[in-house]
Amino acid sequence: MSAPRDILLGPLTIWAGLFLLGAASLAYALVPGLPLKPVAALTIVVIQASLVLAGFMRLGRASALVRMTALIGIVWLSFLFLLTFADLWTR
Amino acid sequence: MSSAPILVEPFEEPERQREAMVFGLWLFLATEILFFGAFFFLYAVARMQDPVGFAQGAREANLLLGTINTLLLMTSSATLTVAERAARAGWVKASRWGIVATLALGTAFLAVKGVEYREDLAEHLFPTVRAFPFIGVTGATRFWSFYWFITIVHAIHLTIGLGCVARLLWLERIGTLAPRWMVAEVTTLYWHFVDIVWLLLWPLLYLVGR
Repeated sequence: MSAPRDILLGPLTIWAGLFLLGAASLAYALVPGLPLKPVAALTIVVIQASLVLAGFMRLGRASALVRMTALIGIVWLSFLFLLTFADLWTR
Repeated sequence: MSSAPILVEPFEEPERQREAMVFGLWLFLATEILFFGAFFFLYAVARMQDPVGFAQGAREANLLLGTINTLLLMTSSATLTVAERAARAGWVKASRWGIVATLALGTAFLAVKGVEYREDLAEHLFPTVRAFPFIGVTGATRFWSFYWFITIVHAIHLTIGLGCVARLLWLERIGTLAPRWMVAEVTTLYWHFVDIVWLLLWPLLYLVGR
């Protein structure tokens, strides 16, 4: 049975984390002269996506079959990126 | 209190039905990851080939409206999660408010997007119009082609999501939301995926070249 903490507090905590990370991403992008802005933005967005996957979508608590299914799309996509950029960057 | 879940053929146990529904939805989401991933791939190549022109075009994107929409969508993910978990616990009233809030936030997202589109068009930021300010700038042209395509595709996904969330409200109206909380769970999974896509799009469209 879900406790009130799980129903309300859990989603609110994840939301606060997403908000703070978004604010950090925005601040880093707007301060002039900071290095590696694209890398910082992508790192933050990966953390945000992980928060949604783990906190809202509860992928960590899902069965192995469901986790594997979720992973498989990302794995195939990474092959697409890896093979193409390996070609582009070595020309 | 929560009520017994409604089972459909061929399932005899709630846990098996839930596992099948969640698995099926994730299987669909895996195809969606590949669908959107191909466009992100296109983005990466276009940005790599003309980074300066790309950033020049991206600076014209409306950061304020894009950021407001990010806030709306991440909040809607929280409200729908509350709605889903409340439905599972049998808190139908709390669930109803979560669903209504999600519908309002999702609709607000589309309304803000509409305002943004109107402003973009007023500034001729559409690659095929004669007054497009970046004619001959490859990176900027590709950025705005990507912007229009991906935001429209995302808006279509969001509209479908709104329809699914509206169905939850209808289930609540006819009094079957609590025993059908698994439907709420898979609807929520889809909504979160649409949210993740936007979380990725926000820095890629609005924070480039700042």
